[in-house]
Amino acid sequence: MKEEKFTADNEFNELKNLLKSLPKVDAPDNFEFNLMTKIQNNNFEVKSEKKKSWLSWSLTPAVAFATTVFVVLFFLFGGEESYNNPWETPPQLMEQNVADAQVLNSKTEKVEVKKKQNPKRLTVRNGIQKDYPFDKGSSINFDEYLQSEAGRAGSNNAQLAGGVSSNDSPFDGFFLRQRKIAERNDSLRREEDSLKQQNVNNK
Amino acid sequence: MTLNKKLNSLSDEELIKEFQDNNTLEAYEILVKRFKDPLMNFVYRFLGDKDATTDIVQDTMIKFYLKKDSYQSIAKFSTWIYTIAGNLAKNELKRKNRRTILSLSNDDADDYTLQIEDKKFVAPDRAADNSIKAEMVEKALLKVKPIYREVVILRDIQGMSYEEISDMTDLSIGTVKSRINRGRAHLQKLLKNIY
Repeated sequence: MKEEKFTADNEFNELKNLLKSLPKVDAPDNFEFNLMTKIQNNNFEVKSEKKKSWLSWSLTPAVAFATTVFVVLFFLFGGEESYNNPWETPPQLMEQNVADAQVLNSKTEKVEVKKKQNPKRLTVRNGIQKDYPFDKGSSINFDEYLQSEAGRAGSNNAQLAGGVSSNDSPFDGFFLRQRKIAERNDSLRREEDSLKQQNVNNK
Repeated sequence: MTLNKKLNSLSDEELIKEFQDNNTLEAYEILVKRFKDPLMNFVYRFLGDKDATTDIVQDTMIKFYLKKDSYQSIAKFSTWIYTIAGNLAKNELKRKNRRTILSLSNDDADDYTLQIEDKKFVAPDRAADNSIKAEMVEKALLKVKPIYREVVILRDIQGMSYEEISDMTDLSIGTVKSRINRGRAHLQKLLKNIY
């Protein structure tokens, strides 16, 4: 057993001798002179510890690896969006409109439910009391609203055309201007009247 | 008895004490004279580059000059200065490796590999030649992992004790011994054909 251990301990004897026989490396002749000159001149810049440049962080293997992984992932998964067929995907605007309409519907439903739950009895002029299913402060008189709208439309001589009956669409239709047609009708009527008057006078 | 003669008779620890207490430059110079060659040998075997080795030993001496007060007399002076040199050498090696990885023409590294692997084609009579053997050992040593190489150099080339190596590397004696053994085994494997 001892012999075996001895052999194991001396396993590297030859190697040790080889390492010991390596030629010694000495410092250059001007080593001390250079060192003392640096010290006397207070030149204490440690060459092996030079400041890293601002780019050095980007040259580390870790950063290089992370960048490679990012690029690979980008090409594997990031590029899929660009291959989407535009004919197969529904238009974003329509989706938005539908979503908005749904939100609006749900809101109005909620409001209606609230209003039904809290009916208010309000005193109108001459002491007549009426039940309003909504808060007067946050609502408007529908008749007045329609009249004013009609008045506004009338003043513009315009009316809605081409509107969609569906509740889902916020598009009500185009406004048609009719002022010119009305003016022309009036002038034609006036001409007709004047002609009739002339005929009567001639007779 | 002149001051220099008197200082020369002092031990390393007494000289550093003198330098710390009285800022005696002669004491510093004597220590530089004593340690410049052993440190050159140690760092050169670790890095394999003479210019870089000279720079690192110079830097070690400058650090020793600037940070003399950080030495505490509980440790041996040689342990302290070898630790400084070893740390600087390891930093340099890391930087060198980074440069080698990043460089597009990696010719130097290829040369090393080829030279070491080609050694089996060297004629036996030439292999017997000491200088060629030394060159082979040097190159094989540089192929050993730095953590093993450092302790093998300190033990088998610098002739340090396990305790000193343990203090310098901040490793337990058991780890030091195991690393030395692994380093030697790897080196022996690389140098198999020259025995």
